[in-house]
Amino acid sequence: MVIDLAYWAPLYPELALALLIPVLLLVDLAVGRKRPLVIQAVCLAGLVLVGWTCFAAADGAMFGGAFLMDRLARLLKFAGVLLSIVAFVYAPRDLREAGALRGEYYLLGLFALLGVFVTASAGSLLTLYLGLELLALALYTLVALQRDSARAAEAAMKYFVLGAIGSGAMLYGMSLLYGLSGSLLLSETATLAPEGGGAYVAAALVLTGVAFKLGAVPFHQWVADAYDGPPLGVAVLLATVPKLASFALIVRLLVDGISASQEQWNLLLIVMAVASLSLGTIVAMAQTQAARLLAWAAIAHVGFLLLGVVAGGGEGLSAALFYTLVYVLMAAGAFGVVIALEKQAAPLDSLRGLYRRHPGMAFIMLLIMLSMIGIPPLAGFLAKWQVLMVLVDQGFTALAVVAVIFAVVGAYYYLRIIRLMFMEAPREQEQERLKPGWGASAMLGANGLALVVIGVWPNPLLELCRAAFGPG
Amino acid sequence: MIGLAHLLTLSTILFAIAVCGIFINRRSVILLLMCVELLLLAVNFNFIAFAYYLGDLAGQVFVFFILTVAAAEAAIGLAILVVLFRNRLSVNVEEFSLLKG
Repeated sequence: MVIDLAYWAPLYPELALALLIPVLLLVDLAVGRKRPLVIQAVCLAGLVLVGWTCFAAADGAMFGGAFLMDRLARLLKFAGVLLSIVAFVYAPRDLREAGALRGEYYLLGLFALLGVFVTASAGSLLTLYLGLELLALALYTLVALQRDSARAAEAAMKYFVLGAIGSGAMLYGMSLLYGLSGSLLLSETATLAPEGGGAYVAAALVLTGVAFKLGAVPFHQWVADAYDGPPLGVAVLLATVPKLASFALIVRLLVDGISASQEQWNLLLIVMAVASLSLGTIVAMAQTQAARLLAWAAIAHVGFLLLGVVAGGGEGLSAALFYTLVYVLMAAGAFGVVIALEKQAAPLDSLRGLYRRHPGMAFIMLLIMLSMIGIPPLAGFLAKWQVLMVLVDQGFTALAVVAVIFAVVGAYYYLRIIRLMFMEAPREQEQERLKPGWGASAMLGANGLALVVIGVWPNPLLELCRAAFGPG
Repeated sequence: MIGLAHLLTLSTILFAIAVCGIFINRRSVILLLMCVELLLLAVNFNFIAFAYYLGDLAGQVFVFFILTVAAAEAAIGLAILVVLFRNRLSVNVEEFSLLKG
């Protein structure tokens, strides 16, 4: 039998990644625990190849429309590969300290990435579910990677139980969608009339699942624990890559899958967005742990992103996509800096006097924090600006005002970090100069630079985001 | 004659029992895992009922996937439980208080 490669062209990224995973498993087996650098190198080289296949893959639908490769999927997949590379460069330092640097980390990270790939390309309820579970199961295991830590185990259990409830609720909604529309294809469930109790219940349950996966209020309880419990090297992956799948989930399931009942779920979405913004911002102010602060800030950022979805249409969604991409870049950088502090479960105080311990790193953290506040000309400003513009255009002026208010309130805790880094002396036990290693240093530099470049010269990325929701 | 409504009612009841079990249960994590399984079984029931009444195989195929994923999920859940028990020597939900804030 001749295998027609061209036929499989839309699946190239998935095939490449699915091939990389067993290869890495064998390398791990052959090289053993003694040479973690080799595993990291193979993993990064493999990911570069996978990133290339994202462009080599052809657009098109496979398996009767259950799998779609389009511009949105391509952009999300490529972003996922880039983020995984960033996370895999930052993480080993922290994992080695935690005694959790094993080949499994990379393997599970790649499985999670495969889950993101499948979710991003989902064209039916089944592919969507399988992609999400592939992602979630890998993440539960990653959180529990540090086996001798009670904190990590507890975080994993909480994440697992809440995640399973979220999937269960979403799945129940999916089963109702299937029953009402008679098809698993998202293009066909979209035509379902929004009348009748069944459609309402289905939409509400699906939205519950989406909110769980995103970590939006009122389904946010797992976020802070899942970021804080495991080693920071796991948290950096958890804080970035799955956000892409969550965004894909919103677009594929809510916007495409149950578009007919948009009026109903938009209302719920507004409530969730405002609640996430306010609660995330306010609770973040009270945090003393770096990971927990970033977790609550993430909830606030999710609220902002949801506002873009609320505004709706191609403009609103592309603004939300731009926001997502910029946010994950900032989150990766922030975790990268915290990892370089070489503190397990780092308290905010360990950022004290960072300027004296490593000026370059303090400067990068300054860029990231200013970008998270939304100060021009950094990328974070533009991301917020895009969402606000669309909100005002679509007549949601009140929501835009609320968003601006909480963005200003949120500046408090970012400015507090800046003050700790530049205005205070290091703690007595932490006087020595930090040595983050050349790989992490280069990646941190690139990360900070990317925020400036996207902020000053945003058009390429903006065009990509618009094209993802544009016609044809 | 048992109709679609009966089957859907049953699955709704199963779903409600599972959700109540998760939120009311204050003792064992193992009970939580059982409730998660029940949740998925309620969904399976729904899919099969719909597939039968729609005369469509896709729903039944979905059930096989859910069963497989549920098995993997149970394995991972129990593995996490073992790690947790080794560290804490307890599976009591109320004692999970290391992470706060």
